[in-house]
Amino acid sequence: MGNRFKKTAKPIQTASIPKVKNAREKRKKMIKRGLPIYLMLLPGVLYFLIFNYGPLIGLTVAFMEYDPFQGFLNSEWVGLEHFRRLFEERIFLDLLSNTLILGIYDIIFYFPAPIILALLLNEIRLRWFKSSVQTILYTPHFVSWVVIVGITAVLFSTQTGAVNNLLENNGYNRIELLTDSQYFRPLWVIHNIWNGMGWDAIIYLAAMSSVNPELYHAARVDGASRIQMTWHITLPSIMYVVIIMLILRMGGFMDLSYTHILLLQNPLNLNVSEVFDTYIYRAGILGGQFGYTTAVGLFKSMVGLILVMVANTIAKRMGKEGVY
Amino acid sequence: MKKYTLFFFVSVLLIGFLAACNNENTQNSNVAGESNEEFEPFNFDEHMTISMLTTGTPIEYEDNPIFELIEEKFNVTFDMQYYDRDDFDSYVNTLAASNNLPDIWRFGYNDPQMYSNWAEKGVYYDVKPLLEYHPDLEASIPTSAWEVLNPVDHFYGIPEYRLATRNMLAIRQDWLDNLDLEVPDTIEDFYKVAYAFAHDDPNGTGKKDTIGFSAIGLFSDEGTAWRGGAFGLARAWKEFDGELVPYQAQLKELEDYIGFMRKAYEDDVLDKDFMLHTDWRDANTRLSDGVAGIEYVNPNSVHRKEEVDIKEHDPDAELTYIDPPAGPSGERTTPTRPGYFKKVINSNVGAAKAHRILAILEWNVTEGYEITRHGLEDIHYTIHDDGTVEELDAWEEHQPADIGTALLRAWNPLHRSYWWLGDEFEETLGERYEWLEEFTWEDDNPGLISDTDIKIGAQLDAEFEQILTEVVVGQREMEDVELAVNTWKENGGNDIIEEINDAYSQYKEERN
Amino acid sequence: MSKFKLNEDKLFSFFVYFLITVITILVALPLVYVLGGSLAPRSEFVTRNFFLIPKEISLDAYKYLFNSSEFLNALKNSIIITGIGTFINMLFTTLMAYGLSKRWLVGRSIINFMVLFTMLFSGGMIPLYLIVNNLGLLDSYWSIWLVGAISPFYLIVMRGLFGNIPDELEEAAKMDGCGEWRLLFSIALPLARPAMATFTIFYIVSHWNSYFDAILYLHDQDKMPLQVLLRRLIIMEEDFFDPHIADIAFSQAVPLAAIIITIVPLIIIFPFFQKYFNKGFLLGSVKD
Repeated sequence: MGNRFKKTAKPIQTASIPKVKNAREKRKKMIKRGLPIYLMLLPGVLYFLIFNYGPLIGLTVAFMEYDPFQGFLNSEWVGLEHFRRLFEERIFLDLLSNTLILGIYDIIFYFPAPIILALLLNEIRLRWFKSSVQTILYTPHFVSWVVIVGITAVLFSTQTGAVNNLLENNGYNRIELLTDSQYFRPLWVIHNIWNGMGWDAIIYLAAMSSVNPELYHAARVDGASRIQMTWHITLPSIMYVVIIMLILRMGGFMDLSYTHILLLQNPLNLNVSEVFDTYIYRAGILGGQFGYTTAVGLFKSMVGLILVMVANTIAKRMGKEGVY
Repeated sequence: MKKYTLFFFVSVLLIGFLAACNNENTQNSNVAGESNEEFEPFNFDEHMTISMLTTGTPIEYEDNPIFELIEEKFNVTFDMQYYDRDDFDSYVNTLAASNNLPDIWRFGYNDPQMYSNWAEKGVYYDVKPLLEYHPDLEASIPTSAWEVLNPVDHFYGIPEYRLATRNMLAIRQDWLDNLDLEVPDTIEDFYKVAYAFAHDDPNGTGKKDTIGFSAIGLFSDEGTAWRGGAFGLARAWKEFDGELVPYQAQLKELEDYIGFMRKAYEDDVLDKDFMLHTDWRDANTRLSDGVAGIEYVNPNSVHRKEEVDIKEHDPDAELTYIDPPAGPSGERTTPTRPGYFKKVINSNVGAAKAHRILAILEWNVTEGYEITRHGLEDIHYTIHDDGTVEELDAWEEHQPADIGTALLRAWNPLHRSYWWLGDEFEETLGERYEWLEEFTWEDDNPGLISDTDIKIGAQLDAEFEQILTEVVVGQREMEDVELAVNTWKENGGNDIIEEINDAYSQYKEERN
Repeated sequence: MSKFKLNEDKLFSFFVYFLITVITILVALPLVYVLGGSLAPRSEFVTRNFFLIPKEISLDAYKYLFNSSEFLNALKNSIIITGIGTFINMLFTTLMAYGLSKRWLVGRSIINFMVLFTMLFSGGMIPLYLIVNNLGLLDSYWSIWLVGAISPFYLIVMRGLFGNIPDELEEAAKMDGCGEWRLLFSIALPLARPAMATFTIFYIVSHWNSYFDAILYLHDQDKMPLQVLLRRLIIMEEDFFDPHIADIAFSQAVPLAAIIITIVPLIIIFPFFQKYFNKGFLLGSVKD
């Protein structure tokens, strides 16, 4: 937004001085108008500066051999050594592709799930049905990954899993759900959907409840069916939230819940399950390699930043509002 | 324009906090030498507050007569802090960075490197000079435990007792009886028995619902012992002609071991889920579930756990505890854990406080020994006329035994065999521990560290285990055992071997 | 024509109900396992009879967790942390989200970017601990409340929901001579009730479930919230297996019961918020 403004403003600047004055004055006026708003922003801005920007000093660790007794300035500086180690890492490309593939799975299969669920829930008129169903659907959010993976093992472990016993008793083959690497990604996504779908749907439902009911009235008068209304009114009305969520999701593209993956990981699916987060975990077990693990984290953040900026730009090009 | 503003904002803040954090780091790097400081031994007139950081479940402090007794006797107050064991190391690092380290804490759980680094920096108090006042404490702990991980002539930290060889091998006696089999002795016998358990319907259900044994992946300390060790595999490092060799490089032994496991997997003798297990209890569950016939159990709790559980399936079920099987060359090994756990004292506490701490620890192994097990008479237990002892409710509440072991850590495997469990329990437990010690699976590496290992060791091991697991489940051929060894060596294993052996020759020089 | 529409709508409606029912059953099955498991005696796990519904009901797991002498105190702490924490969250977040929803605001873009940036980059645990320490917040609930005062993610989404308030409404209010603060409290907040309800429950849940900040910043064991207590009761230190630990501690039912104990209060309060985001409020305000 700002960039575009600058580009058009420059030629004017050289062409006519009074207009610049005008623009400046207008700006001043806008700032003055914004004073009460700035006051509202103040606590939040202070919060971010103190508790988020302050600790960023810790990122210097990515360029040093960190020593807790020397601190963030006096530890030995090693320049880009940690980054060099990361990029020269033998399995760097495997890590990158495994991480990206899981990220893509997440966007394709997980991301739409809460939206679809919210659209379906929005069509339900029976109050009691809606609220009880909703409660059930959001509850999995509180079940930890340890328990979710545990339940999966109870049902599907090859040796004793209940489902596998059932399959075998009926003459079918056992499914090696947890050990066969081809099931790792689908299982991971299904876990995510089970765990988070109902919870994330709440945000979309909140957005839907702000849709102006008059739009539906008008559509009904025009003879629109409910499926048409969902498609032409509800969905477009929450599109701005969908876009915000999508852009934010791009920022966390490389951030996968490492506890979850670590729990699902075993020697037989290592070739698909080893991602940056599990790699960092392994690297950091011994020796407290803060420098290196911070560098890997910083690399992930940079990738996230680039993806967010690209997504934001695309959203703006399409005439939507981005996140900044 | 806005980018510059942002940049400006951030820089100003960073500089501000740099300054703030900088003067924070004043941790003194005084390398030992405070021991000459004046203090009067066993004079406890001055009241002291001792801060202590530990792991585990908090023990009630207020109104706890055991703590009150210690407070009064030594004129101290404890400031207890607890932290989860999971990321204890990073917490200690955080405390170090903010100059908030307590007076005593447990050193990083999995990380001998951290211990050594910090020892070099002079973070720990060297207790050796003070031990002349505490001969009983010194004598209660083996010299090797005082020395491990420490530079020559320095005792940083007080060793914490941890049973090195705890778990023992249990076999289903009723299954053996049903199938008319003898308790196996050699590894071949073991396999025959395990095979029969998997195929000859030992539980008489008419279904194929049993297996021989389970495992915890291929190379965990707790699970591999009777198999890997029998074939001559090192627990970690093994000395051959003065050189240390890691198990990852023992091609011949690996071929034997992996071949054994591969056959067991193919024959349905081995748990099909063995590679999913990460904790010995995962494998142990198979015994409780009535699925596996041979598994490790904890002698402390087997009488209340597995022995009870298996009866749920079959009232006649019974366990026998057996020697680990003998390998081709007669070797027998039991799961063995490293013994370098220590409690360390902050170097800045001064001699008087260090002395006070040691006095409390010494009390815990002498006069206080029974108090931090059973508590106080008529509060925590009562002695009946017939000499039997009964536990009272307050014992659970005040947890004297946890103060004795979890906190102060007496060096005694039988700390948990309380009077009210009976003499027989203590005797059995004592015998079992003594028996298991015979089969200790030594690691010949005396705590030496390789930089390459710290950097990439875990990664290399994961890849190593991946290839070998694929061999075991039949996704690869036996030839690939060699591939696993070579991959491990080429990608950094050779450096690890070299670094450890360099350190080892230096280590031997220093001690001779 | 209209009859055909009606049928189509009916079909659609049937399809929706059917699909939701199927999804709900699939989601509910593991939950039934959690509930059933928490009530199952240890023997049922061992004999592998237990699948979804226990044959015998045993409350041992709950007794074990409730029996802890600190249970009530920890519950009280959790309520304090959650209650005040959520209030601070909502105060900070709402003010900032409302302010940033003004498209005309000079500098809005910078601040927005600044917020987004914090979602991507973090300095880690140590520097944050140093700051909390320097501010003298250690061992005080203020550390927990302030360190997590705003979730940038919720802030950005909430800002989006505020931004959806029609401009005409705001203009109309301006005409009436409303200042920004009054505009916020008398127009924007009532309109954004669904968003407010959503993020209140989100913040409540994140406080209720969190233990990490508590074990990091609090030393005093009497200040610990429920989650820390439950976690410690579940994760037993393996190498101290005490022959005297109650048998129940071995049971798989314990962690499952802990989940139920955590969820139940949230399920009870959920409906109070649910009614706000399940129906719109906009219509009323436009007409008034």
